[in-house]
Amino acid sequence: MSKQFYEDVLQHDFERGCEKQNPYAGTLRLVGVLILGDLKQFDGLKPGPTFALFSASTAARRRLGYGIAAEPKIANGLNFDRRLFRNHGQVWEAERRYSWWNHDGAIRVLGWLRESRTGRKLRRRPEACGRNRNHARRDGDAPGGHAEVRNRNQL
Amino acid sequence: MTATRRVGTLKYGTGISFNQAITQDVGVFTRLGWNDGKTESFAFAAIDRLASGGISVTGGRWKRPFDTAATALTVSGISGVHAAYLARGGLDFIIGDGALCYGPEYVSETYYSARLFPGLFATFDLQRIVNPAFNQDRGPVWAPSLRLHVELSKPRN
Repeated sequence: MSKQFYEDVLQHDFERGCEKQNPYAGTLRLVGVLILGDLKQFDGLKPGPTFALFSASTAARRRLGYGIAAEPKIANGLNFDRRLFRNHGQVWEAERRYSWWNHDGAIRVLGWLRESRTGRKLRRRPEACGRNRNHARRDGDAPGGHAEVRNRNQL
Repeated sequence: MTATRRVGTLKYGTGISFNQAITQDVGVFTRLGWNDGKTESFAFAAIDRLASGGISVTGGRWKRPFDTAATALTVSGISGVHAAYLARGGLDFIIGDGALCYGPEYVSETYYSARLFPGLFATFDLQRIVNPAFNQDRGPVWAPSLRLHVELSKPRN
């Protein structure tokens, strides 16, 4: 979750060209999420606030970013741990922008680390192929739709 | 796998991306991703290895400068121990078919984003997925989708 949040925020900034408008801007964002108690479909969801914190230092040709976000106490659970640096996700990103023969480009490197109560996969011999070739479930196509409203002043 | 859960287990990964403008209207991109592959998959996507590349063209040449057409190919895979886990009937948070004949998942995706009005964009996207969820016994499938995007305040145009 932290990685996706953070990438979305950085990507949106990059697309807007914020750096061109204010090339030496530094940013610090605190993103709060309020988990409501009436989301009954998630049995294990503990109501209350959770958080993510993003910070970036931006110059004309480079950007360094760091983010930290609360994660569930148990992997893929819904009970977020709101203590700083306990069951959390961190992400680091470095970006370098350049121009070759007036053609702009950018290279980004990203690393992430996530800590939680998580299991490990044990090494065992796989089954032979074809076991589920005649599985009762059938393949199907998957049409989808998506709509979003974004207030560009708020991000 | 839930029996192996331990407090403080770390899962880590890294990624690198290149974006390059070729002309004023044409750009290419490529991305590579990797994670340790042995700890429990955890939100986002059950992918341990990723490579993607594509090309994006803005619509200036056909007098629609705020439209974008793009196509990309993504190849993703999972680690050996991850494949073995799924083959033995393990379940990930979004995949798990009771068995697995492992193969890399190939996704070719093409979309066209059209500005309908200033601040309102519609995107039609079409994906062709081969070996969905890394299973050669599944698919291929088509996945069309429609996306609406509204930008409040000062729009791009």
